[in-house]
Amino acid sequence: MTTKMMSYLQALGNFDRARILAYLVKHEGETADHISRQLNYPKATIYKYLRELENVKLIRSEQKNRKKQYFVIPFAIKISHETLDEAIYEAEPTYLQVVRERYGGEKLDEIRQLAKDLKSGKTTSTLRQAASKIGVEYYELMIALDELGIL
Amino acid sequence: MSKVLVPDSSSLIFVDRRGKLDLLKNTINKDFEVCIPPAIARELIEDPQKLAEKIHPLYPNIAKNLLESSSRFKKAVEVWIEIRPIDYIRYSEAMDKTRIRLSKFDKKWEHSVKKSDAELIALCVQLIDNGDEVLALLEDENLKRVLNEITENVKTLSIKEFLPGV
Repeated sequence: MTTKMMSYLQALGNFDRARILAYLVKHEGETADHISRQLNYPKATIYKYLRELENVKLIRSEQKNRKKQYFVIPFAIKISHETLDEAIYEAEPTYLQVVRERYGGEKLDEIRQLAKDLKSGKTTSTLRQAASKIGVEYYELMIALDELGIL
Repeated sequence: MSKVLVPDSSSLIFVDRRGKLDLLKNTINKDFEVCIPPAIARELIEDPQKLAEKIHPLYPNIAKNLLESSSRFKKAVEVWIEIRPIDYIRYSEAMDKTRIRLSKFDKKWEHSVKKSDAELIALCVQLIDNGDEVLALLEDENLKRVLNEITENVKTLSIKEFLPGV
């Protein structure tokens, strides 16, 4: 439960994601295209945020007439000093989350790309060189790749 | 002739994160000596300590796990993993060759090649010259390729090949 609460808080901690969610509360079944126009965000940004909201199960999507419609999944978050403390200590973040916090989402994307390249044998450098190129420490790259199932 | 296992840090990190360091120790105890170069030891013991210090304020539990991992490796090098110094004068050629080869991968200067990559390969060459039979545990395919180019006498396996089911 606490892990779920932390994922809700993380998702809603971003103003744009929260705004999209709030919009969907009032406009159930909207498409990404429509939300993009109404809220004036680039489509790529909308897709990214919708995907993130869907990942934490704050929204769900349905395919209708070749269009994907989005719906809010009812949720409730009750925060008190006790539940927040509990949530932080019980929701074990993965190292990938640490990477995101320390370096931002772009580095995480680079690590994910490296993981894909390693899987398909496309890499042309050693893992230590890759860590240096991405700009993360080798040890943390090893943990991140392990979490991604690459090691 | 001794049989020597030279694991890269990635292989050891993989095993440790699954709580199987003792299994590795027990599997190899009778058959192999285990050696790592100094740079790999630093990666396993000092690097997680430094990382733990940096992330502790935000992620105390992960920091704690890193420190525990560092302690396990510290204990391991006291008991069953030997830190074997590189004879830098004698094996400077092997290290230079490695650096030159690796620097071509990312088109950078040789001095930018990480010491651990070069030391790992130099240690394998050094052990072969000592007449040892060497098995390197490597997860890094490109490093494996360079090692095989520099010496054909080292057998390489990934940790999953060496310890199936881990």
